[in-house]
Amino acid sequence: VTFEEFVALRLGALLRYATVVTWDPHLAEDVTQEVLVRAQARWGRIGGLEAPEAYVKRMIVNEFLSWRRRLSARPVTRETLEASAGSVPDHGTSWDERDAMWRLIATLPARQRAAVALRFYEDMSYEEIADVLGCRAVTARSHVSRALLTLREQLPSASISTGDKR
Amino acid sequence: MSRSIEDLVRAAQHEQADRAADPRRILAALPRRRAQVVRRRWFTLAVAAVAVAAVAAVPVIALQRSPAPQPPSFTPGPSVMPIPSGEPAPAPNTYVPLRYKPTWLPDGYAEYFRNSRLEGSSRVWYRDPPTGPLDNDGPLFFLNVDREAPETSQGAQPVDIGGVRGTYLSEADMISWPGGGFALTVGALSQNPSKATLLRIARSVRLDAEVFRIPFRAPQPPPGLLQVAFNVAGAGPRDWVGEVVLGDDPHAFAGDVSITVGAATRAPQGGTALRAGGHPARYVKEPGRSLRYSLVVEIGAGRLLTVSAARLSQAEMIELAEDTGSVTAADLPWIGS
Repeated sequence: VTFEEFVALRLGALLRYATVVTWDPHLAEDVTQEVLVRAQARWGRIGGLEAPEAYVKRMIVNEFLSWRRRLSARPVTRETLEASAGSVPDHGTSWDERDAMWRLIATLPARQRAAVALRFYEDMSYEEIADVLGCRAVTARSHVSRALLTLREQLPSASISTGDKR
Repeated sequence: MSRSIEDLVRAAQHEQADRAADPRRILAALPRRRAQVVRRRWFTLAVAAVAVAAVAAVPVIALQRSPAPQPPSFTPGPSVMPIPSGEPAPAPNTYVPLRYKPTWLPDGYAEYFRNSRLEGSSRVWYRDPPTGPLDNDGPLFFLNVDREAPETSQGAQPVDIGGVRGTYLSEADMISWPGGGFALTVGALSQNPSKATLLRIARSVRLDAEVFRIPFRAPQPPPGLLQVAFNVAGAGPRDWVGEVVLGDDPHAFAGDVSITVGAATRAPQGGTALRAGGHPARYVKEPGRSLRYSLVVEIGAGRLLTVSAARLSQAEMIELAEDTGSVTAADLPWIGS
């Protein structure tokens, strides 16, 4: 597959993925652009991989975490959140639940949020998450567990039930 | 109806995915972004030199210790901070081999900035003498000596540099070629030199045995951080600012912590007065939304020590300041030469 074909086929999915990883559509746009430019320069190698999309997604995560370093771990700001808020499709939860969860995920540390994105948006195993994040599987599991613990503690108790799937 | 936390997370993630930008906008912006990235990658060091305030964005450096040849004798300057008795002696002086230099530049250019990093080093020559050690500006030429070649760029033209094949990138005013196991790059910023001028500079590059002295002893990095960059900028041999950059990733562009010693500081005015290492100091927040704070210590002899960081406590910054060692080279004769 050529770079142009790859972009034509997968850009939408990559942008959605980046938006979930970064939790900031503007940052996702910037990160995705940056990664695509770098991927294009190396497409001779990336395009020959068995799973080029997985490789590019890994680049997105790494770029995001790098961005976080560059910006000194800047949290997702209230302004960013409010600017991002808008009419979105209802995926089956009440507005209050969705709003609370959406805001809480924004407060997670970057690495935890990335791990949660890989776990629940990408349905990756902890081994796969560890591979993307460059850590051990037990560490990946820890990132996800801590994130869920934080979310569970902060959400109204009536909204959730137990049932941590392993 | 209550739902599992995982279901709530998934629902929120899918809603967030629906907020993604329009892919057509990304596609339309890619060519321009590519030009920006190419320029930034190739120019990172020089850009940092232009705006020394941004030196934290300079990539990586590791400082080579001891085995380098000993330069001519020097007189150690006063201690930046007193070293408590019983503490180990300061680490050996640190030297960075420069390896290469251009033997021809257009008239009027002089060297005012040097950088060292894990994968190489940079030297920058400005046309206009800086008005202060942190005020470098204007047209410049630079020489980068990197362990790895820059990414191949579309549109690069082949050129011959002393019988070696190099590439000329007109959009970036830059020539890169392999030499001695390194990737050498000469380039220009804030001007539009002709290809012939860049070729003449590149073809004049020769081996340089000079070693670059780090002019003060860097502190021991806090846990989780390492020394990733060192820069010296100056307006004259005694009018300089040296900077050690600490970061958590040797391959990241940014360092989170900056420690400067020299005749000036980038910290804003004002702040809270305090003392560090027995010296008068002030602790000041960067303006605007920045989370960065600076600790500025008056260390005597007209020099200031500044620790700037976003993620360190005031106590940790004071500790770093107090661990910063002696000025080892008060005069840096290469500045302005």
